[in-house]
Amino acid sequence: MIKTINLTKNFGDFAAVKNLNLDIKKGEIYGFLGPNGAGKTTTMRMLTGTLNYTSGSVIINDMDLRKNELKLKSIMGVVPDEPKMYENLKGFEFIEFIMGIYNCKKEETQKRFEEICEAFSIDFLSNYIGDYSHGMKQKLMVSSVLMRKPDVIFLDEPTVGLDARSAKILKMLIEKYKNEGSTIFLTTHILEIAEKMCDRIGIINKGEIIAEGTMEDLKKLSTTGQNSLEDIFLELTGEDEISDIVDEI
Amino acid sequence: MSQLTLLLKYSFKNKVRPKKDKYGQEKKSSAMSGVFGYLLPAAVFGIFIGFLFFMTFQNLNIPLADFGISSSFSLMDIFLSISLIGLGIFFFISYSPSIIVNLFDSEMTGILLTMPVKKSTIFLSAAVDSLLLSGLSLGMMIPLGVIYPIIYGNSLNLSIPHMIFSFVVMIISLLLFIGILLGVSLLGGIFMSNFMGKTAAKKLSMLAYFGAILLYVFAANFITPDKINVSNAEVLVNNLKNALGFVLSPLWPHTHFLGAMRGSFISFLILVLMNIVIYYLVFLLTRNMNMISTGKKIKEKKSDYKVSSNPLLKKDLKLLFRDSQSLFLLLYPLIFPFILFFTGSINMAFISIMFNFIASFYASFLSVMMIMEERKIWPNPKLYPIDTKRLIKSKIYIPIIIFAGEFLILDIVSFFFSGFESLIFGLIMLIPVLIILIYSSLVGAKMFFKNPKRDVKQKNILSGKETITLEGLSIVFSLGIFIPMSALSVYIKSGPFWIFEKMSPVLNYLILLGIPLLLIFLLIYLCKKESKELNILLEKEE
Repeated sequence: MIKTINLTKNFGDFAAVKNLNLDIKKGEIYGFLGPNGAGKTTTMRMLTGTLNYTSGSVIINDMDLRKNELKLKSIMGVVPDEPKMYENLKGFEFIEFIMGIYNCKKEETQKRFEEICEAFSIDFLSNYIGDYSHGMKQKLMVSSVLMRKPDVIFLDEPTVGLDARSAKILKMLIEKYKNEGSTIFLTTHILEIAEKMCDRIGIINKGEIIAEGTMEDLKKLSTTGQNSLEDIFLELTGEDEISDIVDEI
Repeated sequence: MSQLTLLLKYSFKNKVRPKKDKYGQEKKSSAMSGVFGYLLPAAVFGIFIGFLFFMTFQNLNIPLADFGISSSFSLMDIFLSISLIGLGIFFFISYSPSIIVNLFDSEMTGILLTMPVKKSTIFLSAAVDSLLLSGLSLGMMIPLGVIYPIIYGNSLNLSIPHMIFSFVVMIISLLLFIGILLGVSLLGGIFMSNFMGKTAAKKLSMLAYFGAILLYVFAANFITPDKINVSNAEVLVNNLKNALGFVLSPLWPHTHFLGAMRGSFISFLILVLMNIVIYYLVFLLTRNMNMISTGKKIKEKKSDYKVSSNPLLKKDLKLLFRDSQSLFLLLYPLIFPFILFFTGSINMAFISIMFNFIASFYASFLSVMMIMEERKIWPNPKLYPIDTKRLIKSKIYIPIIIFAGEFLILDIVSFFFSGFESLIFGLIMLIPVLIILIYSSLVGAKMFFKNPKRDVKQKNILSGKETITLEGLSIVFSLGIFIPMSALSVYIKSGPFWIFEKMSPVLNYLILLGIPLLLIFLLIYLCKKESKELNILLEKEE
């Protein structure tokens, strides 16, 4: 469903992502992990068509992203790292805008949106988005994506700002959408989420994939026999000496 | 005090735009240059308005006793009081919410609240910061305070040392009066923070700004010495006789301000006491003030969603009309000619020039403001399944279509004032109007995308140099097309005049029709060029 071939992004002399090759199957939840500045958001932006790539290609649903950008964007749903929305629109006006811009089937989408609103306790749609807290914005952004039931869903740190209940609901909804055939690309710093939810995990560091596979595959890569994703992640990204660093402080 | 200075220093520093040196390196100027950048236009504006007030009030320094009214005040005091009340109210309703906006909008407020900084210091730094941006009505009040002692002092024929002493007292009185206005506005801000969210405060602040500018425009056109002269002062006084008790009531702080400037020690003392009480209250109330927006929750209405067939246009129009500054820019080119109509200038050629000059400049500004709305949430708009070029270009066409519609309205109105000829002239002029509007919007958008990394929180999106370039282009093309065209209409109607009497008819037509046509063709070429360059910039946009 999502395939990248030697995907590369350079910012001047700096290579943010180097020859990335991904192959994510339909109906899979793919966890994309990495330390800060590793290239996660850059990769997601390239996959969602918001950032031009320097070389390589992105194939989604057997279509080249560069050649079919608008067609692919209409089957994608993206929850970006920051839930930025037009502050002078009210919540329900933003939803109307999204329904219109994605040409959604009104009755079906509205029904699903109202159900999601109930689940997330969204009762602030008559207020201006500018008055929302981060959590409220995140809920609205997530709902505006899930109401469309897109074939491919990109989630960049989707639980940031959400309360425990809403985060749990979101995780359940992701599982549900996956079971109904959606492909999900998820980045998170909460390794527990990745460990429990993702079918496969890719770890990126300094722009390159350093490990990829199921949890079992990753455990095999650990030279010290680590079992938790957190320990494996730290070992693979070379940050396992953190206790020494903390002791020095 | 040192904490307040520190907060203000970094706040001003944050407002300074980085400038590129000749090597392309970004350089930041000092914090004070940022402050001067904000104060300079206000100072220029203040000097201009000061002259206007001086011309208006110098002939009105007539004691009311001369009109048989038992009062120590003069006719000037009545007019000054009306001005001070109006400006004071505008200052209050624009400044109070702007403090709230500044506090609630700043990402720093939450961080500062966790630091060992007094709440009153955080509040005062936000207040001083807002004053730079919303001091328009205060900027109008300072010249009033300065010209009053000049006019009043002249009438008393004081000795020089006495005059200097009186002038110092008057300046202190002015500062005390401004202190009261600021203090009352601060109290208003504290009160509003209890029930007003960030968006509501923003709207109120912008609306007041809009009102203040309109008031200035109307005042500049209607309050002129030839309209308020001594010959009809008696009639005016009779009309205002009943209102005298109201405008100079001791409950107004300006009554004591005027009293103190006229030498009343009691009035001076009242001003001092009012300042002490107000600032003590400010200090006291800020301790328990809510400095982070909680937003007032509006009762949810379950409604059917209305999905538009053109959601982009619907959204753009909503955002455009909800921003008071945009609304002002949209309406001013229409309001200004209407003021001209009512003040007797009903020449469609002159109105066309004025409309075109203002509208073409504002069209580029509006396009940039609308693009900025997308930039505020960038790169999220790139996720929509619409072409980025379409997303941006709709922002160029919307102001053009609205202004073209306004020009048609003016043309129809001019028909009722000046007849059929004026209507035809306006209809012919619609084509160059449209082309100039398209060109200036394209130039504005291109300027924006040449340097797209702009501070989205700044009100002035375009730099001074860019603004001057746009103004220059608007003036050159408006005058270049409309002056020969209006001269041509006079030529056709009344025959050769001025230097055209000495030239052959062929040469006359060549000049009067040739120059505008040449400029129109040049504009069409430039529109194509700008559009091409904009497309290239948009393709590079990430």
